[in-house]
Amino acid sequence: MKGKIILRGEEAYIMHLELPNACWHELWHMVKDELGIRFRSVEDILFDFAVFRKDGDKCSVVVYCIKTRLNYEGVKLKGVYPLQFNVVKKYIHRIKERSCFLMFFYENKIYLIKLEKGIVVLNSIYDCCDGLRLTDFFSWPGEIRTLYHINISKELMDSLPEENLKLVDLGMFGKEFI
Amino acid sequence: MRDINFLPCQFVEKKILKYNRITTALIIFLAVLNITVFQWGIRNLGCLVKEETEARPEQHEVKSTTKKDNSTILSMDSFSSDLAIKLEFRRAAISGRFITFEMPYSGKQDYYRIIEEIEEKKKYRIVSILKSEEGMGGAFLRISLEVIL
Repeated sequence: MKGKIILRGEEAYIMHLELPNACWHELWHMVKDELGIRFRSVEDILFDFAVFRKDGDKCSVVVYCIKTRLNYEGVKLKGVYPLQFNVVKKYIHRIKERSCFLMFFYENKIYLIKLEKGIVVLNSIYDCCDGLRLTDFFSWPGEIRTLYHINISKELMDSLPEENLKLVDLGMFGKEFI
Repeated sequence: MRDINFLPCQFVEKKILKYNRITTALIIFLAVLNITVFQWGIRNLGCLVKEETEARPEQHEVKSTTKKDNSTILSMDSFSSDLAIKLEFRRAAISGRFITFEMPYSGKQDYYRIIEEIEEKKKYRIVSILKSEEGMGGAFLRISLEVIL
């Protein structure tokens, strides 16, 4: 049976690339080569990408990278999923806006995500131990005024400095969800 | 959103290799299937044509009639251009390559003359020359020829 790895507390490095329009596996090779040039080696880098926009013979690709040292010897692996992407995947059908923020709390960490056309374009993880400081989060560019939140108590939401934000509660989830 | 999966490179490469192999195998299978169906179709078409030919013998009759008609016309053309202008004849009948006509008989020399006339053309084979009994209009010769087309 193939195993599934969930990475918790790992922030993905996100970059945008303009590539020629091609099929998925050709794009994958192009992204791999591009990462090889930027980081010299892709041995320790886990990556994937999402096609953000196709425009004639060009396509705009959002590339996600995580640097990690996992040992995969003899492992039958189905997939490696960072927690924030897993949560987005499970809640995407409940998000109606084209562009919005998604925030959730899990194991003393606040995960903040910016979604555009259902694709993660920015992500951040904040340590919750010293209290919530979300100034960086609200300094992100754009005119997005909707914030979906999961697993966050009302008291915590009330402490948000931003006032003109539309808040949508998507409920709670526990460890069994992950 | 597509399932974002951070699989290590070697796993993805294996996946791509597997995908390529399956695609190649599928293409080969479809090509073989295509060729088989094409050949089966050709064989079936051959059988169909054969069955159709056997089922309609009247068509062949029509074709042979057309050929016969054509030979009659050719025989008539030949007869009218070669013999009819030189010989005094009556009651000519043409059927296919066979021509029968009658001409008045005045004496033995008529036999030689008609045979000479016909053989000179090298287009006819004499089937028979018969002399009729003398009647009201006198005796006459009934000549049957086969045109060599």
